[in-house]
Amino acid sequence: MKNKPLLWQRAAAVAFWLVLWQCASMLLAQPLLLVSPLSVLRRLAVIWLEAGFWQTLAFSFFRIVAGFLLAFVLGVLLAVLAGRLRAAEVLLRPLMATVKSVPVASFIIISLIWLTAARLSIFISFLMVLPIIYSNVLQGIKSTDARMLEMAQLYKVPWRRRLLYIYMPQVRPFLLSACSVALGISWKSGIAAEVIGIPNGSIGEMLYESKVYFKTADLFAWTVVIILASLLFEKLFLRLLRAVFARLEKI
Amino acid sequence: MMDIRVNGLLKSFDGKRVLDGFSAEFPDGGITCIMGESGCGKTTLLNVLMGFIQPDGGDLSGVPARISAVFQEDRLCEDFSAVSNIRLVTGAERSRGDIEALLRRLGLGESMHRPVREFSGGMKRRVALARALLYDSGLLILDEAFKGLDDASKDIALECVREYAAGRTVIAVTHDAEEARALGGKLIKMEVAA
Repeated sequence: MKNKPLLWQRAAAVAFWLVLWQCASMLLAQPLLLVSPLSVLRRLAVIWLEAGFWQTLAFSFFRIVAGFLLAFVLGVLLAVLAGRLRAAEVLLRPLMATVKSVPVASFIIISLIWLTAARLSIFISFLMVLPIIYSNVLQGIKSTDARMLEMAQLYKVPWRRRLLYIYMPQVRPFLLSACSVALGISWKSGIAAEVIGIPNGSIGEMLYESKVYFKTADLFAWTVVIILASLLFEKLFLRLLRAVFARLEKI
Repeated sequence: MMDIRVNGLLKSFDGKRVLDGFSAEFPDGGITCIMGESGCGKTTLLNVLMGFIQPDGGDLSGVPARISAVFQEDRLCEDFSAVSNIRLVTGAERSRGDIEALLRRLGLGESMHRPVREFSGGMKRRVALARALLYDSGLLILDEAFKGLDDASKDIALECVREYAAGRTVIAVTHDAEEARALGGKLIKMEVAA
């Protein structure tokens, strides 16, 4: 297997694309169509000082994170239930398959009939994350070594200890990789819900207004803010999850 | 307690008969060694006794409710320490001191708190043996339990089995006549089903 690229190699690759973007923007010379990375950087340098920036960020952040966490907890619980009860798995299969295959835009529009715009991103982020967590955790449970389960059966190991010692190490890689994917999706779908629902004081509203008023630099700057918030939460959450697993192993 | 009796056991896999009317008696509280060439149904017999597979015919009686076993494979939780692997099955029935004392005796004193994945094959075997010995059971099954152990470790392990399994019924499958002699007790030779 090839080694991971060095830091300077990764930085050089990013710099290459930024230079290409800058050149394309200069050649086009129409900032409305393609703003330059330097203009975005200039906008980013001041956007966070503007009134309402942190409230806007907090509004979207807490809703999307709440949706993700709800889906995480419920996805794990449902997978454990489905792992134990075949009937639960059969019952949940069409529900999860439907959620997976229906386009997110359809869900957003349908949900707008039932929910206020302010709550929409919680529900949509929850809905998009749930089947990812559920199916990965269930796959982890199902891939548990049958011989280890025989051992637990022979020694009459209680269910709680089976979960901790036998299922958890098996599920861990599945859950970590599911979270890595689902965290990005929760932000993408949550912001999409805000752009369509346009709740007051959300990042989605900022993106929508940037488009309506042709403020292309703002559009790109808010996009960078979303990427940074999403990456920061992803790193923090995965680190926390790994720490929890490491602590459980020391019990 | 009573002797374990198996009578006329039948078991086939994919049309191939593995146990063909096998009958035997395992004295309560005694050691029985089973020898026989590969494929004669030794492990199948143990799996029937442990309740993992149902025989196609025949009957068995006197099998206690609590059974401990050293399987052919170690079947340990690789991410957890030797002590944790034993506590998984014993719960609060055995004190930490009891567990550590046996592991120390088996030569695992230095490494008993390290994850089992870092252990050699022989070390894992000893953890599996300690787990089976410390679990309070009426029947101890040893399926090639000493495989991969060096002579010194095997001597200590055999000594521990004799001590910890005193009063329990022991059924040991082995290919090693020396090992069977050292364990003592009854010897059953199984034949490949015709």
